[in-house]
Amino acid sequence: MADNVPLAEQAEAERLAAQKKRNVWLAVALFGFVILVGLVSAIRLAENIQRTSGAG
Amino acid sequence: MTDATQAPLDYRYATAGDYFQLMKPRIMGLVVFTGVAGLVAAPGSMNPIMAIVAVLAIALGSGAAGALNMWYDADIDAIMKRTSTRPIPSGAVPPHEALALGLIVSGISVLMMWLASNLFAAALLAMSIAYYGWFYTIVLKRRTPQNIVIGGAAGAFPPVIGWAAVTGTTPLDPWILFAIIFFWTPPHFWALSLLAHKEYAKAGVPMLPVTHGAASTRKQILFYTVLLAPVSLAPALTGLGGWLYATVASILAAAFIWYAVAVMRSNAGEEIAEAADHKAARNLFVFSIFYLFAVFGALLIEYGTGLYVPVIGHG
Repeated sequence: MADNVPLAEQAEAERLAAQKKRNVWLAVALFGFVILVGLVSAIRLAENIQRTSGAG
Repeated sequence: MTDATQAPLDYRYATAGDYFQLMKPRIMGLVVFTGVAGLVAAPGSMNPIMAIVAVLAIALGSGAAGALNMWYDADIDAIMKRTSTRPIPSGAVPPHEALALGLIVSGISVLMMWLASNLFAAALLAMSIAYYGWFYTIVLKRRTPQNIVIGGAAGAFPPVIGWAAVTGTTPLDPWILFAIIFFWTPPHFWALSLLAHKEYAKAGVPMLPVTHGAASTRKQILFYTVLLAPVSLAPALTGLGGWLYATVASILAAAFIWYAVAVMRSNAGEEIAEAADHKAARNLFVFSIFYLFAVFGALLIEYGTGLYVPVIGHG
């Protein structure tokens, strides 16, 4: 039983490390999504302003 | 004593790569390539950033459908050797997380497509995800040996979606590109299933070699390959493809038929099959991948580099 304690700690450390890595990738993906939506919105706005001023 | 104290040292925790594998990156590559071809060949222009976002949406849509497929097929994936190391059967990713990933990324991809292009392209993308993730995976795959033929339409949508993203419409030309992938899918996939028919039989999936035998499958492979040849040359007649496309498509169509004839004459998929028979099926499978990249690549080169010279008409 005593021999199993370091094993449990090691498994928990590995689990946390894997979870942390996954969280970093998730954050990167979410950040990228936010940037993309912002960029697309800005381009759409610019196109609409251009079209409106062109029509006027 | 808790389970944690008994955790084996070789236990593998899920990495971001496992979630990426759920999205079938190899298929994503093919989908993106054909989607870009449709987008580039379509008349009109698109803001480059919007075009990149639209292509990303197509890639994510394909990935989402792949994740839904892996979620539903986890039981048969565990039975087949080729798929037993996938993230769900290997135990790296829980099934409900794959389902969540598939549904969330589906929504994100459709929204991104709508934002970057138009509602029609987004609706087509949503339909293609549902076609593969639900209609092929849940309805067709375990019910009919024609699963690959009918389900092949799912993989044929990307050039139509790419075209719709630019123009908001889908005239005949993108549907010809759709037809090329549609008729390409059966010989491509059945070549693989001739090699893995025992696995499919073990998993209870009614693939053509399992239900109708290897000889019938080899005939069907040749039938669809012969059908593919005129369809692949149609773009040269409608003006979509120029001389470069016509040359590449003609040579490769002849080569495709040659490989299919070699499979037809072999014993691939039979109990008595030898190494040369397996090789014929494998050669056809590998060539079919090259074929699709080359045919759509020729279109991309023509439109991307200004090499387009029409075969018929004044251009």
